[in-house]
Amino acid sequence: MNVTHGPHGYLNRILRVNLTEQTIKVEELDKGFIRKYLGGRSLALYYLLKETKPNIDPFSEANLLIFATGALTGNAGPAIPRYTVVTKSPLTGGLGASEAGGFWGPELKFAGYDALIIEGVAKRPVYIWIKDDSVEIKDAENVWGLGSCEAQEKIKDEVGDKRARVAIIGPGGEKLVRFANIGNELGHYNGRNGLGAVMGSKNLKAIAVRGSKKLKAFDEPKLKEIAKEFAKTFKENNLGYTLFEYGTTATVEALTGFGALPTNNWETGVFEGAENLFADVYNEKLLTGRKGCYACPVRCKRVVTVKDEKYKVNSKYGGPEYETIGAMGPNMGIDDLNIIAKANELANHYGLDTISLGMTISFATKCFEEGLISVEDTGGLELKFGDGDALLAAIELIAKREGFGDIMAEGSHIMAKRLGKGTEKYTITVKGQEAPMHDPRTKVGVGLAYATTDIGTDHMVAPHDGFLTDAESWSFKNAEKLGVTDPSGLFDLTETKVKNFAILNRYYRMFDTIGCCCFGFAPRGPMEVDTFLEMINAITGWETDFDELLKAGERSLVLSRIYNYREGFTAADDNLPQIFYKDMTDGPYKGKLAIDKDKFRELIRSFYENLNWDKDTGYPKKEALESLGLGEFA
Amino acid sequence: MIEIKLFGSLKKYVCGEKRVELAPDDAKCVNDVLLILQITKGEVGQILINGTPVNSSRAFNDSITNDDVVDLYPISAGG
Ligand code: SF4
Repeated sequence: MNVTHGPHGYLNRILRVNLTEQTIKVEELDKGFIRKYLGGRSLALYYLLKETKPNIDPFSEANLLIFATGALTGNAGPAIPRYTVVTKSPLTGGLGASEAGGFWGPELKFAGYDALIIEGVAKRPVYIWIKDDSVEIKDAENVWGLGSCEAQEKIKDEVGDKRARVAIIGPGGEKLVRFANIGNELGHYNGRNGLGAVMGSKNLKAIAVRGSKKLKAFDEPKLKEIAKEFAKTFKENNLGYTLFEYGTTATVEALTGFGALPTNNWETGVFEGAENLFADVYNEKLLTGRKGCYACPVRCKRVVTVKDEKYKVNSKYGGPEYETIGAMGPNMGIDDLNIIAKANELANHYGLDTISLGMTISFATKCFEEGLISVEDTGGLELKFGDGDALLAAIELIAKREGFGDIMAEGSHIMAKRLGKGTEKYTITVKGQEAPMHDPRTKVGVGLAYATTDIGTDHMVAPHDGFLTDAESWSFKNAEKLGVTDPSGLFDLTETKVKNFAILNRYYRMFDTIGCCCFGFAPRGPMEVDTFLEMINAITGWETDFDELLKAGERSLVLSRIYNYREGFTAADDNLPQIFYKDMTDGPYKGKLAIDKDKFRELIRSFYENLNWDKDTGYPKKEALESLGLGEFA
Repeated sequence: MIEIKLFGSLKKYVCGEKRVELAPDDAKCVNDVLLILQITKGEVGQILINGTPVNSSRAFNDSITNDDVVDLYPISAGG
């Protein structure tokens, strides 16, 4: 066992770069800060709350862009590569936050920093080059305007280190597309909320980083043993097997069984061509390799090749995962995986969130088909469900903000407001962010997630309901160790549903702070929760337990709530799009499953109560703040 | 015969096959199907008999007869 003193697994150091002043500073975190906040989303929120004023323009100099790793990020264990980017979102006007895996977060820690705070706006395009203690702000004129792949390669050449890891925006971020993302190593994305547009507004193309330090885990042999065992056995677990074999693409099939595959801008959940998108077809038609994140053996990311010359892709961008297949496929009436792979490549080249992108184009297409907009509005582009070439053309227009692309680049929520004419009824957004490809009528916990999450609709804030329906299941037995006591049916609108969601929402938020990928750990992933806890303790030496960790997750939920209310959000924003209060239009549940609006409102009030938030206003009570050690934010 | 269709990861229980047939004498209810194919119940997210969802109680006692088609889907996960 390692007996060195000081923090284990993390550094207690923050790098601060001011692009206006061109200054660089290193700050030490107080001892105990990381144990309290765990890092990641909470660390970043702490600074966003402390150092930004309410109601700033997300694109102004006053906005911060914060990259934060978690206490576990970059240590040599499975599924702990993640980091958060936090800012004020230009898409929602509230908290902007999104996590990514890959390699960039670990590398930032190898360079000696837990987090990077970007302040100000550069006068000309720049990128930041961090090599251990040497930090430079460099001219990016050569790479501004280039797609992610080309720009990344040029930057690596320029800094003379092929093994540098690069967080980067594409031309979409430069053009301030409100759902532009930040990518790293061309396959991992801080996808949602338009973080890439904020980076673009700062004239910051990329952050390249290379570190030479080794992280010190508290108990290296134990960590090694856990990692070795996981690598050997994860495929014996069905969840691990599925992730390796199919990535997330098997979700297409799973949702087909419910008639819940969002189709033609969610007009129906039954998609005729669904079988052409099934996981085996994907593997046969597109798959040429698998890749993953730092130190993770699961390798759930896809490498694809398209044989059809017309839709040929650059394989370095990786292949579409489920959300992209859903948003660009059935949601656009498209059943050709080649076209979906091409749309995915374009989105990654331009640096655009595939969910908001697909959903904004499907919204525009619906408006077009309903006659609410015409070729005069679109500059001649005929938008039609099922028309792959129209989809690809729309992506190009959005990324460049050309013609009709300029209004689509605002996202469907703002676009509908500008278009008027009743188009708003075809948006499916919460807090201004487009819905992912999961229908909450068929899993009500996902509805609670969509409604209450502070970044707008988000499907990654708790394991989906299916993992908690069966008391005998491996997933449920693991959830029991976190405090879940009773299973809950998929469609239940009950207190049990709320209780389970509230526990696991804290748990998943803990993932987002400490640096975990939810695919790694039960109930959703293959590592049992007991082993997971052992791994956390082997890395940090904290001798912590799930009580403390879930409390840290709750702390993070509270911080983001405080931020959003400061920016003008209220309990009325914790709502679902109207479509989910109506019955399914087709499939095995045709004429059923409308979520009862009043009952659902009650569930939200119970959720607030569960967290000790005021049940009417949804704002954390003073006692809640104090019990979490957040009195300074009262 | 009873036709069983398997989706997603559940295919691994039948060596990657998408369909198998069972004799009605062997499989009288959904539970029998899961037992015969040695499918772990907790991995099943949705079952349709002739296109109709089974009772969601997870008792798996819904009966099946000759010529029925049973669709078995895995849990729908996020991501
Ligand atoms: S499970 Fe997949 S996404 Fe998660 S860390 Fe491993 S390779 Fe990355």
